[in-house]
Amino acid sequence: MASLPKTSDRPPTVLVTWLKWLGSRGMVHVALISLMILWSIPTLVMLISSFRDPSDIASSGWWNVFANPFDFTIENYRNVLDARGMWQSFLNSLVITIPATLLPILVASFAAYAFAWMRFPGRNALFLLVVALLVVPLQMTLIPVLRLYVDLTPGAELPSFDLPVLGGTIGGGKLFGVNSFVGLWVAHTAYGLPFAVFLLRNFFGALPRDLFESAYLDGASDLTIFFRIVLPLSGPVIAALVIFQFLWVWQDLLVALVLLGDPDLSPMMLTITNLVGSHGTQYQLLTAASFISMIVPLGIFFALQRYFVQGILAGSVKG
Amino acid sequence: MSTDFRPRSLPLFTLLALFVVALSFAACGDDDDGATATPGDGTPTDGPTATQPADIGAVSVLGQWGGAELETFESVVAPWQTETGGDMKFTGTRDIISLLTLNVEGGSPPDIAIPSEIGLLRKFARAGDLVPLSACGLEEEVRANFPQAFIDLGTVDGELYGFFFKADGKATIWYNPGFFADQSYEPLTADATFDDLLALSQEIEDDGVVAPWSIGVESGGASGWPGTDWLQAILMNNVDGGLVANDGLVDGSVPWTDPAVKEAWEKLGEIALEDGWASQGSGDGIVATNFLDAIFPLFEDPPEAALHHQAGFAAGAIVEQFPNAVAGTDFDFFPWPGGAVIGSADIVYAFNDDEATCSMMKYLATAAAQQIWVEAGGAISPNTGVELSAYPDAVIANAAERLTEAETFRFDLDDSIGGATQQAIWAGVLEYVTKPGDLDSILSGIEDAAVAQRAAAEEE
Amino acid sequence: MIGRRWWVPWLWLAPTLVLLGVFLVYPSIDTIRRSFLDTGSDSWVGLDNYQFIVENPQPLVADTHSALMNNVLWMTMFTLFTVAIGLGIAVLAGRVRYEAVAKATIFIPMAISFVALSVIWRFMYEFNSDIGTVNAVTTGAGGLLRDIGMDSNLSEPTAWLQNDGSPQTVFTDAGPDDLPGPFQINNMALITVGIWNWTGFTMIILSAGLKSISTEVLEAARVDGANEWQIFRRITVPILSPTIVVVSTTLIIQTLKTFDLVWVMTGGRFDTDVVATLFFRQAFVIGDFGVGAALAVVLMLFVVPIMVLTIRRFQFQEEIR
Repeated sequence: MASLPKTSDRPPTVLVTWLKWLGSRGMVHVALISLMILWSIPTLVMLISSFRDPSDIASSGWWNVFANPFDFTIENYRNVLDARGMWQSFLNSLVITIPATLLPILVASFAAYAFAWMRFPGRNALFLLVVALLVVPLQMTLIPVLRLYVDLTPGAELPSFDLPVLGGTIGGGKLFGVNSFVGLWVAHTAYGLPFAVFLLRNFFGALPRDLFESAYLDGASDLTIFFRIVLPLSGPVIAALVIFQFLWVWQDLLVALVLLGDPDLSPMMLTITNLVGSHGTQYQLLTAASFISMIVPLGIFFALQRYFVQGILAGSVKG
Repeated sequence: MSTDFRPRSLPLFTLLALFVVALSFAACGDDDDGATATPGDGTPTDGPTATQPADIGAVSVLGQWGGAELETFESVVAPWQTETGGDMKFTGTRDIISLLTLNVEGGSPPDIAIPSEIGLLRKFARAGDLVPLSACGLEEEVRANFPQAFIDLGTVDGELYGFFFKADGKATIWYNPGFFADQSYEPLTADATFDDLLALSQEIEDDGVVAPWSIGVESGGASGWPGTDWLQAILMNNVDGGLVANDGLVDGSVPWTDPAVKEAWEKLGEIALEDGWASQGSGDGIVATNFLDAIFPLFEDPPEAALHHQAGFAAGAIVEQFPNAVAGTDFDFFPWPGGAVIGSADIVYAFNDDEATCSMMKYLATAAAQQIWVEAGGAISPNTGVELSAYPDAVIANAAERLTEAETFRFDLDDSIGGATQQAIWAGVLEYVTKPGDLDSILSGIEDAAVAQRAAAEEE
Repeated sequence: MIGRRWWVPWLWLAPTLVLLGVFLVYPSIDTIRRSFLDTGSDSWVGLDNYQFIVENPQPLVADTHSALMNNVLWMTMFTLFTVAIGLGIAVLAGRVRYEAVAKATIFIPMAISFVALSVIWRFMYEFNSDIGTVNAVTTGAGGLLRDIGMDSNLSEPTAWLQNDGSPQTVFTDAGPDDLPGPFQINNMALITVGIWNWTGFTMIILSAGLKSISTEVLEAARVDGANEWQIFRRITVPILSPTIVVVSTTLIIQTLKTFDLVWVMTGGRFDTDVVATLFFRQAFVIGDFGVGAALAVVLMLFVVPIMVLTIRRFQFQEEIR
């Protein structure tokens, strides 16, 4: 007589099916999309508010929009775009942000490579000091830095040139110190270093040793390894750093306010905050202005998405 | 094997480029305003070219205005720019106290500062950072054209350092005249008493149509400040010896635990803590409601409250929110029972006596300059040279007259003291409105802060 | 292996060290110096400022104990949720075709400036339930509950940013009104805004880390019959753990500096102060640089235990390389 399969041998079908369902593609979609919806609600509120009249905003919730779908206005956007100096401050923001994004990443990657793959006395201690500097409150550093900049400000000015068709000026300000773009670039570079070094060192350090060993055997120098091997493989993390550093400098208000000072050189963030009256009125302009100022960082985000590409590592080991 | 950084996502970058172009075209056509010149260009953009004035240079001004107020200020300065060829570089921020402190400490102060509290004036003057008005030759003119109370406030250790620019009157209770007429309520007069106010509130509550008061004290980091206006109004008007106490609080001779002071707080509680008297509901509602939002329930259709205690700027806020509101018919104020006047103002002082700085200081002190803002609406000038007829409507002209010709006038209490004590008072208001049982500990907490502040000031 | 001259590493490090020295190290030393001086940084007062922090003599203006506790709450709750949700989304989004859109949705809050952030969340948390989204939802839910016979506090609007009572009072009157320490409704509300804002940050970095995991390893595991959850637990997380440590460390340190968010939404009032807002108010609003600097030093000292833990992590990582 054939033995019945023991109970414990029978696969627990119900449980397995349930687990399979949990891990299935369907659940991934459900979970992800519900999170996305939840996350978007405040952004949506902001978007809707930017199309409403200020008196509407103060008296009724945004969900009333669904009752009166045509009760919206683009006046807020128009006011923001027409606001005085908005174009010039947009240009200023670009002049401030682009170098202040690229410089710290460059400087930090040199240091991170040294921390990750070179041996020297005090390496660990020094690295931790660099990371510990993440905690220094920005406002306290501004006092001594401002003092220093005041002493270092030359009379000479940075050359500027006017944009031909679009209008506005690029450049200008002093050569260094207070009221200078260069001074601001240097400051933002310094403030961005601790995090960049921290992140890059972690990623550089995770690269497989064999890569380096074969390169050393081939007689490659540090510089060659850095530019030919380490940097190309660090696409994802450098992309992430570009996004963040850009974002932080783009949104910065305090450092620009203190070190730049001159309102003709001020970035978009300052012009936007000045749209609001000192009693906090007209904040519907703020919501519209925020969306406008968001476009560039978002653009950078989308543009860099392609650098989050899988399998770079696998490809290079084989080759 | 270098990474290719040329953008491959062409559609996206086309989009970005289009956006940039659109932005520039939208902004095109507004580059002809005189106030923000491009860097390095100090010459005026309009005006007769027959006699080109000497370019007097740039003046950096730090103030707190943004939006519409900033535009008004720029129109105030425009005649000066045309006449002197100077260039005003205005930086506005709501955090003016912290930015000013940071800049002065860092060795990079603005040429002129226009804050609204006085604590920093004393600090900077004593440290030698400011130049007195006499250095610009401005002293006699200011003494001649401003009420004595304002002169005293701008004086530190006998030297006159600052003058006042844009003033506002407090201790005013706003109401809806149309609604009052419908309900047959009578606005109070200056010689009414606190009990009259209570009676009016009770009457409104008994009628059950609306809650008597609309009260909101939320204001971000400055939450609680409207409550200090109530306290000062009550102290000066409705408490025996309150006027002396008010002055004593400012110069430190009266502690915050003084019975007169305590009585003022308790009277505040008689209105704010009374069940059903505030349209916001409970204490929680009061501290959660923004001070601006608290103005509007009186003028909604139908109204949701009857009385609101706020300074003169409320008029501007009402008109902005309800563009069809007419001063005097749709909104008006009556004075706080007792009639003593409280005012606040923006004070102007300079950190150096350069030619351009002095020139602008002199200009801002003149009646002509101050009148420009007055005519634009929403401001009162403390300069006695400004005609009452310059004010755009009877309501604000009335307020201006009260301010400049008041018998009993005091500057805003917490702005007069500033510093840690001001922070403590604000926090105290929030505590009291939500947890009234702790009044004694609140008052001693404020006194502790005041004592510490005075001790620190003495060390300088 | 390379015959490096001794000065080569220092050459690579030089720009970093110089910049950090000028902009961060020197000001830190200046700050430490000021913490031993009086309010105007003129005369020596020894440990008086630190004593102020310990004794908390002015809880009305500057409640140092409450601020410290609030910081601990932020360090734990904020970091935990931001990393967990960020990791979850990074993993989930990596599996779907609309990955870029999903990531963008979570990332957008970071692109909104903190000034606008405060405006929008003030709307969300508005007390008036005709305007405030959250209160509209809770009072609506409270109304529904009442219809089925369950009375609760939900039908009343809550002052999310101002109420420092204990969280369960939102629902019911049972239990204490005030919990000791930082467990307040408004703290939770603020932390929620922080999580909403920063999850994009952790998601992006963790996603970058995920992409660096070789697909071969994952495929091999799948071929061997492991299911997704096992892969996640046994392979992904361990490989990713250094990155998780980096992100968590950064976040914890970030919470110590969390200033903008709290300052703009409540200004630190209603017992929501964190050390950074307290320090800012003392130094730049009240003008007391002595206590302000001392608070900043306390902030910097908080970092030490975190650094010790990170050392251990990195040393461990060195050994397995």
